[in-house]
Amino acid sequence: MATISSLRIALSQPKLHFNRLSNIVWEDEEVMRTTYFAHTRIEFNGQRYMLSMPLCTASLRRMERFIPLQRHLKCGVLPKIEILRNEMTYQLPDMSCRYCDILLEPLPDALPFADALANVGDSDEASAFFAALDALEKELTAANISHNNIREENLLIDARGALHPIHWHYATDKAGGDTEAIAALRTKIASSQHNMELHQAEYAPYITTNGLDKYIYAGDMHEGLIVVESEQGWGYVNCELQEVIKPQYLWANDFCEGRAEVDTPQGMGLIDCDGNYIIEPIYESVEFDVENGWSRVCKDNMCALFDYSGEQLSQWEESFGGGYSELSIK
Amino acid sequence: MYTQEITRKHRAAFVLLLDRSTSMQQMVRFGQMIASKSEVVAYTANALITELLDRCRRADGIRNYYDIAVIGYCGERVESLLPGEGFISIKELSSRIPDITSIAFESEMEDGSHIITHHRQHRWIEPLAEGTTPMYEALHKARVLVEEWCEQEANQDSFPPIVINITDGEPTDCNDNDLLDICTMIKRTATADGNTLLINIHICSDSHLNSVIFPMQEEITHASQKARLLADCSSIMPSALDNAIHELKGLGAMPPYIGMGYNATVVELLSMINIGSRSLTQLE
Repeated sequence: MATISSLRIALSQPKLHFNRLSNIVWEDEEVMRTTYFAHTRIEFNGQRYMLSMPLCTASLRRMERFIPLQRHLKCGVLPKIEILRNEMTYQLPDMSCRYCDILLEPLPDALPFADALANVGDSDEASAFFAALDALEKELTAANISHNNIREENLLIDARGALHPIHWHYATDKAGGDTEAIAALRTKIASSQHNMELHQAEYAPYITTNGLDKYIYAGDMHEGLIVVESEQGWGYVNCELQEVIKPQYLWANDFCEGRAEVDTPQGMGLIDCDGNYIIEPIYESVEFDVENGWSRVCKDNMCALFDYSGEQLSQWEESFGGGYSELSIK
Repeated sequence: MYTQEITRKHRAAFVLLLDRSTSMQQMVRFGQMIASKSEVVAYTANALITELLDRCRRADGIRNYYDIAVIGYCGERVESLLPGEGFISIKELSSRIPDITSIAFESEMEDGSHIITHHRQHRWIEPLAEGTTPMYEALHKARVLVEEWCEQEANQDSFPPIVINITDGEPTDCNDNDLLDICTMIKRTATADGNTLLINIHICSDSHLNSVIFPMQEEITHASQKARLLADCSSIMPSALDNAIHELKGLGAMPPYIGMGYNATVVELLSMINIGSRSLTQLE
């Protein structure tokens, strides 16, 4: 599969590496990633898009089901997402050439909701956010779809105060999949307002963020560790900004319940808070599920489950879905 | 302050908060035994409840000295792990003692071989480790419980409540400010005999890490920021426990001590719980 480096190379020389998107403008030069996709913002024919590159064979399956469905939907918040087949070319280390699909999602003219939320000033502003969330929930219910990944980072807010979800990678038909996430956002708005009134950074000294500027990317603090990207790769710093897990990975996720997924040139793996491999980095994808501590691990179209300690729980089986039920536990 | 004798008229309240999130699946060494943190914490909690029951046992039966609550938290759940929703009196608990269960632990022998050892215990609490860490919700529930308890006329002159929070991680439902806020609220609740004692114990599986147990203020100044936060979230231990803590810490230790443990091993957890619950031994 193509790597984030392949994508960076292609984005810096679009004429050489893209087919339909040969005249894109890539300005912010920031490539983010999740387990399934690497994504960045681009401009193409005067319109802003989120360009996503699949990182494993399972990445596009949900979108392949969802895109035919979206064509028949009238939903104000749902953009016209396209899969561009064999859109990007990239080279393997042996210099052979490969093709890769690209997911293209138009972006509305709007600002990150997370920024707006961080500066909730008064109750009027909070009320406007509540109303915008109500409207979004209504739209999704009316269209009978679920975004399945609603969170503040995946929402934009336009000049009229309307919310626009982005990153529709996990969208499915049938409404209801976003109820909890929207409720959590409501709670967050309420607490942001409360915190603004009560604290005003009263207890700031526990985390120092001065000094993160030297990194290409720095995430939020999770379990005392901040994921950072430097020239050497992705790693983790602690709350004193010491590099406790040296930047070395192609990508690294936030820590959750003592585990984080990482990507290396040899494949994806799972590490603990000391950087020890719980699951060796040799797989195409590793998805840690915080609910039960299991990881769904895939390689060459075969999947298996591993437990919290990295012991294999199930046989390797051909698998296309995302659930555990299809994998038989040993 | 913190001198009130515990009598049937002046009962004491004890709240145990147990982190049951996914990371508690991590295996730890507990003496010769190898078990998950969730198993060790459940085992410790069950032993403590049995111990409190035994302290109340007299020739004429169980004397009602304590109100106990055990709250487990994981994922979306913050729930009472003992019968009822909040406090249960020790007398009522004594009428619902579960049967003795045999618990199997893997033990490593000196020659490196592994054997299964069985330990018999009243199993009030079963181990569980799933989901995230809703510690704020759990502390919030504890605050409501102790506040209501302190407001009751019968408890207003009692020894203040003791809340022990055992976790191996960080809350996933709040930030540092929120955590400090809710802990401050708990510590503000009080009876005429003193403020509620909040002891936070952060356990870890790596015995090579430096642990900070019942630290002095001076130790905290040089500790990590996370340990400092935990210290600010915890109570200063009453002077009645100074000798016991000094014994645990050794030479050079000078009170006052902060009721917290950071990077504590499970053995240190046991010592801390033992000392924390020692304030509940001033029985009539």
